[in-house]
Amino acid sequence: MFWERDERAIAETRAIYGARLRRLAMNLLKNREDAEECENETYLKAWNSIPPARPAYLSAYLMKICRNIALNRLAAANANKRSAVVVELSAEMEQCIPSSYIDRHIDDRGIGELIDSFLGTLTYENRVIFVRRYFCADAVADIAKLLGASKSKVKSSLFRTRKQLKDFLAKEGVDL
Amino acid sequence: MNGTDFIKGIGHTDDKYVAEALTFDKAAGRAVSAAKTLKKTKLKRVLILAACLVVALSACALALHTYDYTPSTILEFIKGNPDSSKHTDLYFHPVGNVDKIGARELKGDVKKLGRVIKSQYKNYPVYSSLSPAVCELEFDSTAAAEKYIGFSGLAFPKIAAEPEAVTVTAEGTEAGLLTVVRMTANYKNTPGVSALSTAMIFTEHYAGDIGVFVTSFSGYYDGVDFSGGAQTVNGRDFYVAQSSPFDGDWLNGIVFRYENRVLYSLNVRFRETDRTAAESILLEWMNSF
Repeated sequence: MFWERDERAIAETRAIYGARLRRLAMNLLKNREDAEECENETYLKAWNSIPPARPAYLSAYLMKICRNIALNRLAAANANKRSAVVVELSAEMEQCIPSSYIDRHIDDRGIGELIDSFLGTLTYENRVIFVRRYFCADAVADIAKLLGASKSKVKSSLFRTRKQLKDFLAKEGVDL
Repeated sequence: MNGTDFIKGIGHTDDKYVAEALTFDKAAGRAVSAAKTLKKTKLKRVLILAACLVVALSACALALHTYDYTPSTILEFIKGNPDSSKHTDLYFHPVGNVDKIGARELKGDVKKLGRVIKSQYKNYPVYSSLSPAVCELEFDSTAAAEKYIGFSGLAFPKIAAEPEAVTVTAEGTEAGLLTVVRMTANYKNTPGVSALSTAMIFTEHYAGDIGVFVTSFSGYYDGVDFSGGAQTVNGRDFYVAQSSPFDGDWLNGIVFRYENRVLYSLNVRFRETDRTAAESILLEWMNSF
């Protein structure tokens, strides 16, 4: 319907993906009003970008837009004071960075490509846990609930995956 | 490069990994349908009620008793709902006289969703669901979905096209009693034509009115009218309705049938230029009974 410029696209998209988008925005922004604004901005950007974009996974496409808007909002609003969630997630990710990478600049897309390659090496469940945590910014408890697993199992999976990522990056770094 | 760069960078990861993580629970649902253990997969897919309605929205779920329906009433409703040009885009029209099934007649794994719904009520995830009463699973084929439901009266219409998506949606009470089971298949194989086939089953625990959800096109497009009536194909009765053009040359065709305590409907949206293809799908669907 986006492609056909059907105005119902936004209403139907909201009905199907709205809760998920709000949750993502809430995870990052921790403010209901901001999350709702972020969600609405996502629909607008999707409306303006499809066409020409023709995403294969509309849910992922919308989530990426929403995540980007939320992170930009955080950057603008908290120039001197980063969001607690982002600080927490960033701190966890710091553990994955080999020392050889510290002074190296890789743009966001480059990092995305590295992570893609890494995700392809993970098991299905570990990949879901990793993406849920670092893309969706889901709390460990929420991921545990989703999987029907204990929090310690999720934490341990994340710990192992971060270590694997560090090893992966160290190995890949030779070719960078 | 630091941790924040990574957090930003992961936003560029492949959509397929994001989609995979978002639909984890659906995948778990498939595992259950394949008779794997519910405990292991712990599927807890919550479908927002509004989403269910929207899926069913373009279509209509019409309650008609076998050979005992009143098409004119339905048609009058579709045409004459006094509020249809106002605010809402979904209307419920009770029709009655539909037999409910015993919950025990659901022999498939769908019955396990009662427990999932009960658990959803206890741990209502506000930001991932608008209703804890609803649970939806995706399947690879209509056969797998039928098996998952396991109701002997269900014979989902078979058409040649491959469905783009097949879902089973269960609704239930806080006590975990299933009230409604709905199966849908979405077809977009023919360019310019999209079709949604639906089967609805109401259990003895369903306490509400049984009836039809009808989309009001006039909320978006003024002057849309419906015409239609009963039609017999291969000795079986159907009710067929078609909209007048809206949004240029778009049309909506809807067919309903009630059989063996299952309400079936097919909604086809198409452009005038694709009328032949759309009518072919409608006929194929009716011939499948």
